[in-house]
Amino acid sequence: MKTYYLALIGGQLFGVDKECVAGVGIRDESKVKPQEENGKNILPLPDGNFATICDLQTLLVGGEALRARQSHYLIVTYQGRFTALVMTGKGSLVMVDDTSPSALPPAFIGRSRALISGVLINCTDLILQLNLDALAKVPDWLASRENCKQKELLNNGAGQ
Amino acid sequence: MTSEGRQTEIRAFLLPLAVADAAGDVFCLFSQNQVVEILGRRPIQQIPFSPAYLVGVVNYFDQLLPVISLDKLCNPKQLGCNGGYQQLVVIRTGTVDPATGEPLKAVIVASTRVRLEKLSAQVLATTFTESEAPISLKNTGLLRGYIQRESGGIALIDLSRVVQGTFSDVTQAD
Repeated sequence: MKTYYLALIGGQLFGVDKECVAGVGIRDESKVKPQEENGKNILPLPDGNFATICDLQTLLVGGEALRARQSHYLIVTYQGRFTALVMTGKGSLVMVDDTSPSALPPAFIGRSRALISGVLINCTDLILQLNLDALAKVPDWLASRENCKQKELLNNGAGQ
Repeated sequence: MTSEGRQTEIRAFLLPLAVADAAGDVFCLFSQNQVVEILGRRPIQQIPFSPAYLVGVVNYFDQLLPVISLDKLCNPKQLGCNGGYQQLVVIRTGTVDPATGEPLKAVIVASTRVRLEKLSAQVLATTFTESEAPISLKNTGLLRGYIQRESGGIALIDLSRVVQGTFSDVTQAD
């Protein structure tokens, strides 16, 4: 059994090994204002470090339409890097048997498979185990995706 | 009905499809053998970075099954309409997991209720004609056949590449 920190993001449960959780912060721009650096939003941390902000809700189907209020940051640390996951509520701790997580079905490939290392079935809940190595790359993936979208829009505009 | 009549009668499940460039109604046909169960609404766990036609996963008897939206698969450029569904159709895809050799099932989202029809050999022979499929259906590369009858078109879609993860949809790629 292992202790996982559960984050509710876009109505879905994501699990992070508690050992990798550096803290939880309130998402309040009047107190801590995110900054932009190289197309990525970063959050100053009290110890002088910075966490790259990662909003997984935008990646979920209908993420924009079903946008729930995301009130907190879950600060995750992995290999000296910090990621601030935007989440709904403060999250919670749960003890889970993670010895045999289910793998995603083979239909899921690429980045979705890289990001979700396994799925834990906890009674009626499905908890998506986040691969922290991939999670650290998500802000870069999002930035490159945004660039591609903008190029596509420009190309479409030029074509018309 | 005679025993001969019963033998030549097949039961099929017709799932209404939203195909933007189709003149009339279009249904996707699943044989009775393909359909495992029809489920009501239940939580679907969405997976980040997945294409729009992969709605998420559901836990089905401790097995994770991919949830597929055929509407999104057939209309990749159409935005929105991610919301409601009425039923989830658990199907056998007839293919196996290349890694484990396990038969692969999938769950199809039905935005309106699935119809069960009994089709006799006579009906099959007289009311159906082979027809040109709408372009958006052809473009999926998954169409196995398309037939037409008065009440609309019927598509046979092969989902094996989708569930095996070998289907690449350029419009959805990240």
